Amino acid sequence: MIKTDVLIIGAGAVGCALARELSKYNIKVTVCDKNDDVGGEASKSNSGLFSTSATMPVGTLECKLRTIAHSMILDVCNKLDVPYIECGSIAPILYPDQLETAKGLTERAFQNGVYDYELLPAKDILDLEPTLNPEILGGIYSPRDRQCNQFIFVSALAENAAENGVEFILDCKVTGMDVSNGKIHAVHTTKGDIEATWVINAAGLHCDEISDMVDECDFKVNPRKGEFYVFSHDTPVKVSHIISSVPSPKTRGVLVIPTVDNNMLVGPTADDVEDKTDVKTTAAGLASIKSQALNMIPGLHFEDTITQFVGVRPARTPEGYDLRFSEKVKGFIGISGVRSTGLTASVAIATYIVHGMKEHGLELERKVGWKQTRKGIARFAEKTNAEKDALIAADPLYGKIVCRCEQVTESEILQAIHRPVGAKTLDAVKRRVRAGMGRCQSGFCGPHVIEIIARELGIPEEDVRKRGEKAFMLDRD
Amino acid sequence: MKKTLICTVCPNGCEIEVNYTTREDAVITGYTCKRGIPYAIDECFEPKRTFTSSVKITGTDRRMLPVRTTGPIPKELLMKAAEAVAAITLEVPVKCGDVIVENFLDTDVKLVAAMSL
Amino acid sequence: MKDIKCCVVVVGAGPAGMAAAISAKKNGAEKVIIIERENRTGGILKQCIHAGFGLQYFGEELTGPEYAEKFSVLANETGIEFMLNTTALEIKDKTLVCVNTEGIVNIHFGALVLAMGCRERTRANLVIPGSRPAGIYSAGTAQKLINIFGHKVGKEVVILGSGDIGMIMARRLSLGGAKVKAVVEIMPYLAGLVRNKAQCLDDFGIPLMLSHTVVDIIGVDRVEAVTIAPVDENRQPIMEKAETISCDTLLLSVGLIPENELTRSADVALSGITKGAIVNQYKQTDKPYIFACGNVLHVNDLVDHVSHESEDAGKYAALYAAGKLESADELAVEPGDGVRYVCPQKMACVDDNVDLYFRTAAPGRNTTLTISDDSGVLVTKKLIRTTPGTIEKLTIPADKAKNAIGKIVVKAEHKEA
Repeated sequence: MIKTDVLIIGAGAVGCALARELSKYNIKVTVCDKNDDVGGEASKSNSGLFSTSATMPVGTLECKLRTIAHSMILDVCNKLDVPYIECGSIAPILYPDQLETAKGLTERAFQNGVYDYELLPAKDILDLEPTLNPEILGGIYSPRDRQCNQFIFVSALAENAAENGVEFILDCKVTGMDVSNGKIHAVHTTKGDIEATWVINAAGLHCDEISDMVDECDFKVNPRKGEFYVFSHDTPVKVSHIISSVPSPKTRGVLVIPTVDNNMLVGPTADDVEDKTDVKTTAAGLASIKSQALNMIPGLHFEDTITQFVGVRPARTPEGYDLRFSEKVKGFIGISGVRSTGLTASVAIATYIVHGMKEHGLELERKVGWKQTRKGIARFAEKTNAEKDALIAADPLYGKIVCRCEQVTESEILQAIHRPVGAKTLDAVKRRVRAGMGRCQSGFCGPHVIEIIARELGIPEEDVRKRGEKAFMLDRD
Repeated sequence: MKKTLICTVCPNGCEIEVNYTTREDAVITGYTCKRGIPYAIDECFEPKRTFTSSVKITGTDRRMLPVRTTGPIPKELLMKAAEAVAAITLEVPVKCGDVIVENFLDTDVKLVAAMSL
Repeated sequence: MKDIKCCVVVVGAGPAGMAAAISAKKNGAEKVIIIERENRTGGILKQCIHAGFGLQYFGEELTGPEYAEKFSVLANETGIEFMLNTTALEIKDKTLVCVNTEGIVNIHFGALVLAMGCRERTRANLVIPGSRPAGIYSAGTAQKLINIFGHKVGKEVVILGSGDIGMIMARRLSLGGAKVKAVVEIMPYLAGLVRNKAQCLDDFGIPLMLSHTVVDIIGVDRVEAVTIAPVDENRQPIMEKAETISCDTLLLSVGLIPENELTRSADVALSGITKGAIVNQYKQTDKPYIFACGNVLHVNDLVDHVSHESEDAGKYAALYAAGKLESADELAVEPGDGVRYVCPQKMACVDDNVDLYFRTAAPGRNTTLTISDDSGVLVTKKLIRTTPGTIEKLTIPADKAKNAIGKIVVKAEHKEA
């Protein structure tokens, strides 16, 4: 039996932000997740946006938390060395009926305190973003929308939390809870029982299953599938702003997103599905993204796509954020309704919950020597030649390039594996340092990364996984 | 009997037609070089293939040493040949052309290393 | 940071790079260096353990590693300097920036030969829908895992694409005990050489499904099955006729793309068709000090062609570095009816034979190949059979090359489909 003060179920953006927030105090915090890596589900397969709350429903908890989070997020990123770009966003107006919607949105933005959300005429919008369809009727410009590397955001939160004493137990699925007399006596997991004073449900897509274990599930999680295209660095037509659709009966909201890593993301679709594990791309979905995106940016080269993926986001019925301290079960905190906005909102959700825990009688004492910063893995590809030389002088493995497409060195891969809450699978390595993220999609580096992971973890190469429990790369006899 | 074959002697892949009752009376057409003639006859009566594979090797970073037969072996022995080489483990140094098995599967053909390691 | 000077630097120690370097040295370049990212020479041939190489160049059938070793030995005898375990990062004017575990190395050259080879097209390039489980490999990656690392990739395999590597892997997997359930090709004809169908598929009873494609990949963790559908004349799948084949591995052999990222750093003009540099018959790019050869220039069918072409690149790179390659007026060389592409894309009108390498657009029989300029037909050749999988070569004789006018056009006309 593992004993802890706080157990966080789910190591996505919200779970990891909470872990870091709680790591400031002298309290034992444990995070468990069924995946092999932190940020292994909804927090990875999204567009990495840090948006303002301009278009949020006025007065809701989601809107409030997002507004607060937006003001906190760059400070967190700077402290944790998370790369982001301050690209701003543009919603072009393509049809006359979108003009009214756009005016309504600017009014709402004003009510939400986002005063720099501006409706501009076509010429100003085209001046800002010349790749747009020249026939637009105008557009909304929002300068403080940002894009971050969401993989690094989540792993940086986790890494920093772990450095400050939080324990992460991965490949660990919660299978049930022993609840009686309004108290959780044990949380059953695939890695044994855990006893905790506080149990926080941050299971995202699976938060209904966890809430159900304490009989607190009065809502439904509706998996909503979003398909995306990823474009190569060298595609000739690239946007410099996040391009989003103005909601209208004609469009469902495809975005064209410049990324911090110089790729472009195009998507998502929004299809409600039954199966939370449905990560299949579809011919129809991809075709729909393509036509919508080309309508906004006619010059896009879809032949330069290097991958397509699906993210399943947890929509909720009824809608809206629900952060709840259970009245029936002592110490159980439920977080539900956190959808794609949660990447930004995570840091505010964390402070909100910790504040609530204090109100519920938890006495927290600040940890002496809490490390508030974390340094990222230095990326060879982004350095000047002189800086590269210095990196190699300090560690010769910075001179050994393993992934040719993204110029990722062996040193970076070793750091990804050996840092706190390190990578154990190919996908986890890829998310941290981009080996296999480029145009050949690990065709060249895959066999070498398998070799490195096996060597460093001391396991046979046949046991190396792409991700998850059973996604083995090689044939195992 | 009439048989249409694709010649595998060189990359041209000529379509060869063989009309035959016995090995001696076969009439062969469609070849564009004379190497096609013995190939076509063998293909009708005793098809043969050059066998290539790799065997385990220790003492270097490359784990598999490429190997080949010095000439073609009967086609029906290919799977047996694959099983035979799976049981071999060598150690460096090996020179390209070094004989690994003198009389491979009793075919009078040698199995040799196809790389120096 | 280290600085090195040389006459000719070659990027890549595969068959193209080694042939170019040896030729440069033989044609007077004093110091020739080959940069190679791996720890051995040979490039992709190191994993091509099958036979079928060298019949044209050496007059004997060799395996890939044997072919490569012959060039390695020759390169060492000729005095080529190799920098192994070294990756070329970018070309800045006449400096090649490289890196290895000792640091950054700047190589200041007189001429540079690009010989980086190619990479494989991926599932994403084809936009194959479905889930993203483990067990999807490009054929070349599987070849490396099996032939160099000694791994097994799967037990039941479907191969998409009838390219040569795909068919060769079908045989390799069968010999290794795996069951290859089908080779699926979207086109109505084979992508690779017919002899590989005979000796790799037919010998093992592997069905070839022409005019079919993979329309879905099933399996969350590892591949469990793929769905295959026939396609109509516009290559659109006919979904009502789709069938699902269980398998744990999907191999892709769906084409190769020249690996030109380094070339882009030098701002060399690239062809939209070959995806390689635009060159003249010297294999000289629009940056006169940069030459290109092998699969980075255009994807070849036979390594023997690569060796010949690369020798040209090396020779003229050496002459350029010595200030002996004179420039002449250049004519455009273009594919005409029935031809997909021609390499080179430009021809300097000089008193020397000019070899044109090209692929036809569709397979056919009784084919007439012609080269013409604005004055009329310069060269013709008749062939019993041609396929897009085979590279054809025609030579414009020196006297005609010198006097050619207007535009050079290569055509292929089939009497029968």
